[in-house]
Amino acid sequence: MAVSTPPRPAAAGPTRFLKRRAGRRRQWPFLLPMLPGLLFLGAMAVYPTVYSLVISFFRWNLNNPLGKQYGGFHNYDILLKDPAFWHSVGVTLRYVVASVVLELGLGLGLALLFFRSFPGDKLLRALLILPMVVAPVVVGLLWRYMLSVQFGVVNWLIGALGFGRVDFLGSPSWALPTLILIDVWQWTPFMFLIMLAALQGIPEDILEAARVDGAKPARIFFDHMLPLLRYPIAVAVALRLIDAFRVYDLIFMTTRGGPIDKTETLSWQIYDAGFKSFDIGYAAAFSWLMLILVVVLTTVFLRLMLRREDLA
Amino acid sequence: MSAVTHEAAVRRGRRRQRQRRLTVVRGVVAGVMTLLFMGPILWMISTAFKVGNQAFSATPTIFFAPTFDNFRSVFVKSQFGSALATSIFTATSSTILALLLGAGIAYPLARRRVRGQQHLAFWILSLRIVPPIVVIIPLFLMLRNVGLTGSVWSLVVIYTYMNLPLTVWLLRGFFADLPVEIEEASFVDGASRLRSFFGITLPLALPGVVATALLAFIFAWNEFLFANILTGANTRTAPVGLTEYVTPVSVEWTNIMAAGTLVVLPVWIGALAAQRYLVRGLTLGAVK
Amino acid sequence: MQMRAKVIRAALAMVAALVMLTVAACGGGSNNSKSTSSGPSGTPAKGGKVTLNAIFLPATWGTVVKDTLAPEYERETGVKVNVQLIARDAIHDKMATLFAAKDSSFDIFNLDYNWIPEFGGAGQLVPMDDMVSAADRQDFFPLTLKVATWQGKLYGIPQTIHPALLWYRKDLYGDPKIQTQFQAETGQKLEAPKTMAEWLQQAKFFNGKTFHGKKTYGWAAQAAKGFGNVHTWLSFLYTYGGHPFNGDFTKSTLSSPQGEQATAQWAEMMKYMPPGANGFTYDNVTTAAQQGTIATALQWSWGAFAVDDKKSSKTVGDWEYTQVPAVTAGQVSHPHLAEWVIAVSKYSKHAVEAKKFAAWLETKKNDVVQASLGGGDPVRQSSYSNVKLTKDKVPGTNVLRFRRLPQVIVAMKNAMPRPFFAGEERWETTVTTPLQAVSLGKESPAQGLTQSDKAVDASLQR
Repeated sequence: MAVSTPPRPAAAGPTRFLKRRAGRRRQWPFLLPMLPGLLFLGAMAVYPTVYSLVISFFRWNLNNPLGKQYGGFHNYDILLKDPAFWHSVGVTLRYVVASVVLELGLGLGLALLFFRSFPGDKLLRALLILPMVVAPVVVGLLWRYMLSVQFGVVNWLIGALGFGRVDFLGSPSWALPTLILIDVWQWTPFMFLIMLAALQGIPEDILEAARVDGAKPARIFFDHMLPLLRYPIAVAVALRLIDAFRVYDLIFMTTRGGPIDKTETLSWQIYDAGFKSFDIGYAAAFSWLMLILVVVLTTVFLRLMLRREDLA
Repeated sequence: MSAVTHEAAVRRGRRRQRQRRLTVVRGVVAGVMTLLFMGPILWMISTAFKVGNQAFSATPTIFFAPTFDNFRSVFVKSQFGSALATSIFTATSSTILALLLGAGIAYPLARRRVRGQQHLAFWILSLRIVPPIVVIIPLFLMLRNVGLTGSVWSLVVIYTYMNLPLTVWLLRGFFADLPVEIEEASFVDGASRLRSFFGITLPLALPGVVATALLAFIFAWNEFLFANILTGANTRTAPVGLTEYVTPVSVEWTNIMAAGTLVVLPVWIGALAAQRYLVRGLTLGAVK
Repeated sequence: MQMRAKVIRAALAMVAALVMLTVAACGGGSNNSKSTSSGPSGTPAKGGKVTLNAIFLPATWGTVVKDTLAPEYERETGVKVNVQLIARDAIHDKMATLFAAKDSSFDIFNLDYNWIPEFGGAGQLVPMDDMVSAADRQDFFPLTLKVATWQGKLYGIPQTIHPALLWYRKDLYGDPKIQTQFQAETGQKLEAPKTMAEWLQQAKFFNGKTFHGKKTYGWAAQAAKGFGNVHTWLSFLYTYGGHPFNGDFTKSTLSSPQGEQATAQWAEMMKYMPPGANGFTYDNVTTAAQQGTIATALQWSWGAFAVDDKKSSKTVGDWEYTQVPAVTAGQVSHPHLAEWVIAVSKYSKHAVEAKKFAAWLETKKNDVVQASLGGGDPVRQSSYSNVKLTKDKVPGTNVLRFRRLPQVIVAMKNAMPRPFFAGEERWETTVTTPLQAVSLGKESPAQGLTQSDKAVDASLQR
């Protein structure tokens, strides 16, 4: 279901060759170094996964002295019937889709800009990637500061341009778009780096041939470049998709799900249920529904984007 | 004949001129875009050097005499230095552990076709999809059972776990890129697998390993949720220490910006140094 | 033969890796025990130094403990108290996680009193009844102990209280020119409001006008989603006689004539707050009060220290304090009570020492010391007549530093706590959303309350 590395042409042949020579007997000592890592992963992954799956079928509030009570599909049932759940699915999807699409578009545009060298491009590129290494907690606080209605520099700029002050994080219509723009600010550089590298990987003679044929730049882009970018785009989007679904720190530091319920994403609601209310059975069921959603979406997306030969 | 070449030369000349104009335009647009993306960070750094009323005035202060008071108060009053030290320790040790364990898994995966290998790789990657909030309580119970809670090692273990899927996937790509012939040659010379791995493969893959390490370090360095809930007395990491300035009484913006600058600076420097390899790293090897 | 050598070498490499891991883990373990307990078996080491680990709120009452009182306690008793300051949410999350794992890394917690039923009821806190003498019980405000007690056991030592008070600007209310203008516009006399209607009228009058060279708004109060708006609204709800729940907290009873009146009044008042008010947290209100951009405020009593701070305030000595307005003249109002207590974890390995420290923080002497250092309003009634507080002046002025205290005493007679039951935090998380819909004008008070009732009842079914 997930992202894959294409088989490396350089390695595929000799690997097979090695295997033939190696034979079965030498297989296991060769695999021995995997053991510590796999044991560690297994130990860390299996218990929490099973644990959360099991408790998702229990009615359990941490502070209930009576402890857990088996509830079957009780938690799933009330969740699926709860309009607030579907509301947060909607908010999350809007957030994820809008930010990923904008990031891809902007990142690709920037990559085309930097594709051919110009004086100072190395320096600008180095500065451009800075937002994505900033800790999300810092990002949230920084933007809260800059967007403040009273002393925020953004509102001052807007005022200087002759518009009225906007309560970006406090107004019901602005809050979600603002969060999306913050995400776009932080992660466009990520898309940009990937797209730039992908563009630079396109063999020059393909583009030159098209140019000699008299193709317009737009034609060249759509007919010759874009098809070759399919795989990097697929991987980059899938990675952003997965991470955007988990957005938590940013919301924690800015809107806390508000105003009203305009920025209540799935991960925020899970936090509320699990840590504010201690309904951990309910929160576990919530998490599993979210997990299913992410896995289904990522899979469908990759199925659409990737062809058979992309998967090793 | 000369007419034709002349015409071609003119066309070429015109194209070059257009090209040059385009380069200028591209440079300017790129400069503006960079300013847009850099702006907030420049604002953060400049605010870190302001005093309170410069930071809160309705008209932003652009020219001012910088003060180091915020950094002083961040280091002296709230011991942000120790939070930074904790962060450096957890991020570094978890990166080293993740690299060691990850290389152990990645190398055989890159060099050998094992049955179910793709499933294994996918399973490892899927661990990254699980929202941390889902696993935090069971993870904490486990750490408690081995007596790690309250110490920085609980974070080291969790970050190692969090980063292992990443390192496995990245290193697998980097190892697979290396031509097998070189290793084979060393076998002929009588070197063991182990020695050829450490003597040949690893040095050749070093740039990739560096990029992987940097990414793992950044993720561990920036992590907030686990750190916020799991750290014990005196084991706050930098992002958690930062939230101390957001009190119910006041939000100490200038201190936040000073601390924020300190949090960003080391990873930025690292990112600049390894920028080229970062791309490979970020895409899990999707782009060469 | 060569093959076997390779197997052995590979195995050795793995063992080496495992050894490294184990060493790392053990290093962690020993590190852990060093940092969290002094005796190897966890019992308080006799003669040896005990170290207590405490979590306090990064508010002034937390910093006072960290910077002044804990070091003093160590000098007096040799017991080191390690104080970590973390935010309210983080305290709650952390306690949940630590208690779920029966973890002992922290001994003392600074608790918002509404968590007492939650953690006390689940048996995760140590009863403190033996630390409070009969004389103490006489001295503490009765309400402070009531909200630290669950099912007959005292689970926390009250540390600081702050009932909501009405703040008003003496410099504006006492200005003859403004008084005349107000009289001309409304036909009423401008004085501190006694009823909700008067307050509303005054807020309308002040809002948007420029006084003393500054654009002024009617009032400010906490209104952000999360906890701010619920706390402000509760002062209205209680004053109008509304009740959030039936007697045994099994049914939400917000939709009532009183509830609707209260919510409508609150929502109407919200129109006269500065821009961005719907995101106002405590610090935004404080800033507005310090900058002098508001004429009145509904704010915790203790926050008054901030407006008299010369470094950050432009309104030093300008604010005066009175009771939250009542519905009609002659009635009393019921302000919402905020209080923080000090509790000891059941899993603490030094519970006895920890309880001693908690009680020491609230001796007669230290209750006054904390208040005079700015660490919140005292919990002992005797402290309110202590000359150290009553005679203290704001530096460089003739204004009494603790001029609010007489009003705090009155407020403590009528103040009401948040719904006192184990699901309070969940309740707040639930009602904050529809309330914000009301204050933003997206829903009517009646709709908002019906929706709250439904959401609260549903959450009780989880």
